[in-house]
Amino acid sequence: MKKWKKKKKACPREEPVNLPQDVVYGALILTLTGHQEAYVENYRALLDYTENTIVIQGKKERIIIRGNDFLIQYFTNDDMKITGCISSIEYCNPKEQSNRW
Amino acid sequence: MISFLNFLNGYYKIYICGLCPERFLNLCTRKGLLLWKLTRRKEGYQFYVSRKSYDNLLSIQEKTHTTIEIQGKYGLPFFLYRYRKRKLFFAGMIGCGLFIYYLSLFIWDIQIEGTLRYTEEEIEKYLMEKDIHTGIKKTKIHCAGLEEEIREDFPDAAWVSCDIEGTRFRVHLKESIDEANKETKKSDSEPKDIVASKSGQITSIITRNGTPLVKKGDKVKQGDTLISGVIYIYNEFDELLETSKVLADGDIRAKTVLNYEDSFPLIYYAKSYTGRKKVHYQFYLGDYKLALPGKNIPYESYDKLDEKHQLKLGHNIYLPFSFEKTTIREYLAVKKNYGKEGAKEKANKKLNRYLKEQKENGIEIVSSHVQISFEEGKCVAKGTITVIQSIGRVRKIKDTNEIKKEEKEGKVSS
Repeated sequence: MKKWKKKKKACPREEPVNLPQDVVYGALILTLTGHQEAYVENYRALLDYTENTIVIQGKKERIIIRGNDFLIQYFTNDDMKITGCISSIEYCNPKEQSNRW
Repeated sequence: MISFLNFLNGYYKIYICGLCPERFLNLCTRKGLLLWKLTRRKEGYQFYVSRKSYDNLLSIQEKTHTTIEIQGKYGLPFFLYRYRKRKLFFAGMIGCGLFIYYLSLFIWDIQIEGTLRYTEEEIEKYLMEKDIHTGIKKTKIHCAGLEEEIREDFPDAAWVSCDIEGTRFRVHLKESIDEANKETKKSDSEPKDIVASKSGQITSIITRNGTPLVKKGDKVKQGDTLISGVIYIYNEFDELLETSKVLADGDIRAKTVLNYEDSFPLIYYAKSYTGRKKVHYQFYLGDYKLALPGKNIPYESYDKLDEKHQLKLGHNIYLPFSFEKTTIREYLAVKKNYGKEGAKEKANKKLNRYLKEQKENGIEIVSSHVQISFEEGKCVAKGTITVIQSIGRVRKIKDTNEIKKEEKEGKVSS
């Protein structure tokens, strides 16, 4: 029993069989269409929004979408659609989050 | 569709600013509100939200201490509120809608398609007799019953379809092609001969019924009997047993000669358009004409082109209003001469057109000898055309007495 406990601690993120990540861990879903359209689901909050940067907080991670002429076509509790010219998408380390934002 | 629903319900354009406007937005989504076209404006955000969600925004505003500014109100409820004092305007709009609905209960256009032998006017007249005309209520027309009536009254119509599309009533006819067969069927009981309708030399003869009296190569005159409707039955000793009368039937083609003559003057008047034109409009309310001023025509010689357009909504809703556009173009009549070469060309063209028409009628052209000459300012084309055509024509059978006479004459001559 002890052995099993140790094993579990060593590999905490073992994947349950055949279940999607967003359901199990609440991972953020980002669907991109070219560089002009982004569709974001499963997020917690919108942290910042300017014409050139959008910062979205997920359950575990945070993403920064950079580009220009951003417009949020619609914004609901479940999903949002961003249009504009996307130049980069950046994932932030949770430990660094407090320093950067 | 969503934008139309938003228009029906009404929506606001809102600007928020304050200490933490992002928190305001996140709280909005937590409450299940839909925000659209969210953009950054200076220190705050601008977005659209539906009219019903606005009350929720106020409670969030209290919590986050942000400032809300309504920048615009859109949609039907605000429109109606803005123009609440203009009752007649709305009454007019509703009245117009009702009026168009009322007009759409009637037939305003009748279309007849697929007629070949019957003319459209003939069928229109027939429909008028049946009390179907423009302006009749749609409910008064029973398409199925009318189809049967037309089929009974127009025996050549093989297939009839009547339908109503919008305010248009459409009759579609298909006529049967075998008119000749019908004629023979009608006169089946009456025995007939086939006689020559023209003089000529027989080139082929096919007898289907009756006794052939001529053979290939014979020369016949107009009115000669080609296939007799009398059948003679002989016994083995060549004695006449009996005669029976039938309807003679067969194809006889013969080489005949057609006379061709055509003439036209060398001098003619051609239209030279000056480029000046006038356009008049007239308005029709049903059949009643509303004349507009400015109808006098200042030109001496002119072409007049009338175009009548019926007003309609969409494809099928015809209205009882139409306008007529009349274009008047001035021209000067210029005297011209064909010249010998030009006249010859024109005469040849006319001859070729004539030959083509003959060919279309099933006549085979063997040769043509047409000469073109000029007499007293006229170009005359004269000559003969040899053709092969069918020359059979049915005629009532002669009396038995006449037949006996003919037989006697035949015996005497032999």
